[in-house]
Amino acid sequence: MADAIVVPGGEVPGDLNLLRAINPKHLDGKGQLCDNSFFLSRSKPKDGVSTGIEPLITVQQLRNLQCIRKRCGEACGVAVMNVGEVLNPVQDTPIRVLQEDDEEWGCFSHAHALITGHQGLPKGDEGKKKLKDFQRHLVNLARKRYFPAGSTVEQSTA
Amino acid sequence: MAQPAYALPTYCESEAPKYYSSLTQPIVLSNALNELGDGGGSISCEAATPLNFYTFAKWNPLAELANPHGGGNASRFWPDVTYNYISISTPHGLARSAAPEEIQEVVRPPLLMSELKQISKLKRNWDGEGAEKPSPKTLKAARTLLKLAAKTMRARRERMGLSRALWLRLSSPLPDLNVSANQQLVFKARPWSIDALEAGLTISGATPITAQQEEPSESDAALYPTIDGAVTLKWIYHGRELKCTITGDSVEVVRWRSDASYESDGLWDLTVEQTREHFEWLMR
Repeated sequence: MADAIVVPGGEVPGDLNLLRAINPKHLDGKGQLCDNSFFLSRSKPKDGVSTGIEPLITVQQLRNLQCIRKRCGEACGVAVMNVGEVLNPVQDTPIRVLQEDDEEWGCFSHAHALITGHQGLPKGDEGKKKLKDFQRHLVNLARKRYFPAGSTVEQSTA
Repeated sequence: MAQPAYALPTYCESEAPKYYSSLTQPIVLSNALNELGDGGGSISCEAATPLNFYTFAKWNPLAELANPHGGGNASRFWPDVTYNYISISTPHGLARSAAPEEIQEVVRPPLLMSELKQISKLKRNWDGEGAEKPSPKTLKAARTLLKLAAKTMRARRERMGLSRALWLRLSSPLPDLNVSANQQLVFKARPWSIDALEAGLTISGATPITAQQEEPSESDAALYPTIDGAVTLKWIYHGRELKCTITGDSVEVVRWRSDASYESDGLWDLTVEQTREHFEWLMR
C-alpha cells in the first residue's frame, strides 16, 4: 500500500509516480509543455512544484479537485513523472520530493507532494544555471507521459 | 520505415552533375501545401543542393515518391536541384512556378512575430494564477531579438550560397509556430553522392530522398510568455537547444548541446545584440 510507505512530511519513495496538473494557459504557442508548468522560484522559501502522489490520487481524481478545476479548468492536462527519474540528475543537490499535506486538496490532502529544495542551490549564476537545467529536465520528463487536456487515461502518450 | 526506391525525373538527370554542395542544415517549408486546400496538390522543390524530404501524415508523399506518375490526392514531391525556386501545382493541372517574389504569396509571414503580437495583448493574470504581463520594454526587446535571429539566419544562408527564395522565404524555422505537425514539411538538405547519381540516378534504401511520418522537426522554435512577465524564445535546431528569456532589455541565454544532455553549456545575461553569437552557435 502506498499509504504505508509515504511518510507524512517525508521524502516520497523513488518508485512512485507524481501527477502534475497542467494549466492550459501555461503551454507554449504550439500547445507544448514548457517551463511555465514547472516554475521554480529561489526567493520563496516554501516554493515548489505542486503534485499528486500516485496511487494515493489518480489522474481523474486530481482533475476533479475543486482547486485544480478552478486553476486549470475541467479535464486539464496531467503529466505523470516517476519520482526516481525526477531526482536522478539532482541527487547531489538539496532538491527533494516531499509529501506535504495541502488542505485545499480536501480528502486527498495526504496525496499532495512538492518538488522543492531548489532554494538550497548555490547563489548566483551557478545556481541559476542548475535550476534551468532541472526545469528543462522536468519539462522533458513530463512530455514523455502527458495526458493532454480533455484526454482520457487511455489516450496517454506514454 | 522502408524507404521507397525513387527514380529522379528526367529533367533532373540531365542536370545531375551540378548538384553538389555541403549543405547540412534543415530547411523548413510551412503551409505552402496547405494553401492548396483539401483537394491535394503537389510541390516540387528546386534548390542549389539536393534535398532530403520529410513530411507528415496529411500530405504523405510516399506513394508517389515510389511512383512519381501515380494519381490520387497525395501530394507529390520531387527534388530538382537545377534552380532556386519552388513550384506548386494542383492535381487539376494548374501548375505554377513561383518566382522568389511570388513565393511570399503562398508562404505565411513569420509567425513568431504574430505570436509576439498576441503576447503583447496579454493582461495581468492571463493564466488565472496571477501571472505578470510582459512590459513594453520586454516586448520591444523580444521584437529586436526575433529580427536579430532572422538576420543571423539570413547571413548564414548567404554564406552557404542558398537563394533568398529557399532560405529566407521558406527555410526559416521561425514561421512555424502555428503550424501543426501534420501540416509542416521539413526539408533537410544533405549532399547526394556523385556515385549514386551517376550510377543510374536511382535513389533507394539509405540514399538521400526519404519520407517519414510523424517525425519531430529538426528545427523547432517557440515563443511564449512566462508567468513572471518575461518572454522566452526556445529554439531547437539539429538537436541543439537555445533558450533566450527576455526581461526588460536584458536576455538570459541558456544553451544545451543536444536533446540528450542534461547539463547546459552555460548561462549568460546579455543585451539583445550580444545574443547574436549564440544564434550563430545554434546554426553552425
